[in-house]
Amino acid sequence: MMQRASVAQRAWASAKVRYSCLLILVLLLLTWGAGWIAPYPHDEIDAGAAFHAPGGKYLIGADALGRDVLSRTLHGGRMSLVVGLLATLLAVLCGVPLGALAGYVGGKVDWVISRVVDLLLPFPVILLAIVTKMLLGDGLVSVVIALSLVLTPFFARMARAKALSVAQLPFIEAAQGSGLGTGRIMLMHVLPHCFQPVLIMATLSVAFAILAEASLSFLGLGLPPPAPSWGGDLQASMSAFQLAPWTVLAPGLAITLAVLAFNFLGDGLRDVFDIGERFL
Amino acid sequence: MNAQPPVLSIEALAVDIRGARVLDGVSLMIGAGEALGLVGESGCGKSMTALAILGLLPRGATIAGGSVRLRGGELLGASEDALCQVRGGTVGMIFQEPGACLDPVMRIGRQIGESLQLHRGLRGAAQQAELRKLLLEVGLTDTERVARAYPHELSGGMQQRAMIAMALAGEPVLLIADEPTTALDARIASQILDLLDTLRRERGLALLLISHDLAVIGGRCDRVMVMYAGRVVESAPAARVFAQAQHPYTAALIAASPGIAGVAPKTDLRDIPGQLPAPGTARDGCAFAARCTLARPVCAERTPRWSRLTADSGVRCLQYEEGWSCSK
Repeated sequence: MMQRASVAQRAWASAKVRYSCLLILVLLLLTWGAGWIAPYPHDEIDAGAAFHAPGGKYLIGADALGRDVLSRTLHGGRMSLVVGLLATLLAVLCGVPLGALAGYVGGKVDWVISRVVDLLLPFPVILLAIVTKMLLGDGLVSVVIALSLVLTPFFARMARAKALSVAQLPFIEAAQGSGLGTGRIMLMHVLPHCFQPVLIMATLSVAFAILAEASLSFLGLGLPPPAPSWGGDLQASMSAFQLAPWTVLAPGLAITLAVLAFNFLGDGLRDVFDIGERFL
Repeated sequence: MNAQPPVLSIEALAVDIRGARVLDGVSLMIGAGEALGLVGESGCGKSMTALAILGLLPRGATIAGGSVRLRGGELLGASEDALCQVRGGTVGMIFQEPGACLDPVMRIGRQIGESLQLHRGLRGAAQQAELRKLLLEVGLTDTERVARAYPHELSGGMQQRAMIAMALAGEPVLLIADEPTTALDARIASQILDLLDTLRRERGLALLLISHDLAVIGGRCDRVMVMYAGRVVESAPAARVFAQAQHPYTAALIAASPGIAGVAPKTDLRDIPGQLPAPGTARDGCAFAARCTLARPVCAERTPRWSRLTADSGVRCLQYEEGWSCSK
């Protein structure tokens, strides 16, 4: 008997998924390997080379302090990608079980969880970032938590919707009929059904988180300088855009590339799983 | 007097859904190795009875009275933990649509293994060995492939066999089969029924076979109970029900069935005009009166009581009560 191709095989067959995966892999390697790949440390100042044009010693130029733009962009990407991935992971881990619980158990549990989620929804990410920065100080953790607080409600709502529809299916009744308790049914029969939509949404939300992290850094709510970050570098070089456009273009293009890669991956996965445009 | 309590005994079970009575005074008894067939049209309360036994009534439905005893132990009002032991443990349940009742994203072996672990604490190699035994017992001989398959990779008949294996995993004493063959074609259906028959004999299981189809019940059950609008209207040994139905509804059901084992196939089928009364409508009188060919005005006024005809049969119809001959 012909075995149906597994989900992973089907996903890999899609060019969109393949190329975006490849791009993401390259981005991860470049930024995580920045310590070895980048020609200079990200904070090495060479006052004589301020606004050095691309070429020669500095492949894509130097910024106002004579720091190598390539090195800073590579190092800065680490922060962006880590924040994007961690914030999404945290949001998935909090939001999906909560939402699935609300959808499957229903009643008062659903009411309480849904109200908490509703309450989180209207807070702008900037406000949350300011609060977490005040409470937890500068650093990766406060940015990650602020972003995951913004993302959690979306995952919770999606998981709730999915759990609500799964709970109506006969195999849930059959599972109850074979003596499985609520916790086991959630774990074995409800959560696995959330996997596909969660994976797609998570991929798209990494893109969103990278963009949001860049915006926060741009506003000075990310890691404080001289730590390299795409948003922060963009902000620092903004005034020199006409004089030395490479200082702005490099981090700007990097953000675009990263967001594009994750968006394409999410899009590609959605096509493969064929679950329509219901989410995000 | 039998010293052992019957495997399942239900007495005067009543269930309400938002104030409307959907089960009224349902009583039945099944002994070990015995098969009871529960017949009636859709919506008459057959499935509700099965769900009430397991404490799995849908939201909004409440038990209004009665008792459900499994080997003498009361199930109504039992704790959720105790009920979880019963479900899939002492009572195995087989549902109507095997395709929809198996989790589509979980391999068959794992789903059955889940029950083996939950009810018998079997893990690892012991679980695999027991799984193989169960699959062989239900006639799935290609055990390796079936255990690794996802539900959609199996045919309907194989899915139902897998469901039966799952129901057997907890070594039940009672098997409830709710329309086990409705979703299957005729040949597969009779194979599944034969399998249930064999299992009942070999394991000494009590079997509650629920169906809307008299042909499914006929020849495979010791006793038949006919339900109408939430009430049991007739109960008798299977052979006698088909040979001489006492209740007009049973007679009408038989007249509307194309072929029943042991009874010659018919060419003229007669429909039962009218419909089941909606739940919650007035309960005065006989619920079948509006569709009954023998109905008299009194049928709409007086609710029939259970009339015992012989030691093992009874009927709920005014014909058998005193005063019928002189009533109008």
